[in-house]
Amino acid sequence: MAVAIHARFFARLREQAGTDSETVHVPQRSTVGDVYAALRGAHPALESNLDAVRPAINQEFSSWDTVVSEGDEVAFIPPVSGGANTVPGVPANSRRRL
Amino acid sequence: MRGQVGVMFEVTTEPLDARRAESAVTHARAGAICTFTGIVRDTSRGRTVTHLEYEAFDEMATTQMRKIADEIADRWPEARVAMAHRTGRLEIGEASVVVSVSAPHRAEAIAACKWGIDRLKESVPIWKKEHAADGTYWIEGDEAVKASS
Repeated sequence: MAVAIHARFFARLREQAGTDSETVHVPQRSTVGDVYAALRGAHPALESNLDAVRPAINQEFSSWDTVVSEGDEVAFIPPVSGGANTVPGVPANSRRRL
Repeated sequence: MRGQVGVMFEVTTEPLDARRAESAVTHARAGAICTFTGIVRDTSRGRTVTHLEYEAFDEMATTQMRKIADEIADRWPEARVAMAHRTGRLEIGEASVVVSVSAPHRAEAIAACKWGIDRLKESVPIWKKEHAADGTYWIEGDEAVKASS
């Protein structure tokens, strides 16, 4: 059974995706990384370097390994303008490349 | 007590007014107010900038601002914090962000204001697109990435 995820894109990722949001269906127990991989299948121009993207589930920064649930809003967020690309509370080893 | 520290969080397309942020944090026990205002400048990494565009994840941005106010509350319980960020098109010389902090004394007000703007820059989902003489760039941390439009 699939779960429906509401994906949102911002800034450079929005331009790469060609849309600011869409609903994507992924198998149960999928991770945020799986969701992004499915979206990259549909939008090959999306950034491939996961170090340059931060995911957030329901407005909280998450790791790529977090499992998503039906109805989650998953936002894909490029590094913000003034900051180093580090997220407090998200260990570096949760970042990886596709 | 923690809930009283953050008094104003805004993401707006309207021009920012630092005085309004300062009014929001003013109270009888506050002997100092420190306000940081970020301004659009006309050069960046050697390029001439014509104007900027800011884009926000509005709901998450205000949520993150509240978290930063909670961090300030943990460190400076007597502080009060106001934060506002503008989005949309901004011209040279306009204010893009205001962080205003009041505290009983200046040392806490200055330290808490620095904490507020530094953390805002790191964790609040707002992006800057620079329109420069040679094209447009998304500014991502230390990097400028050519934009598609």
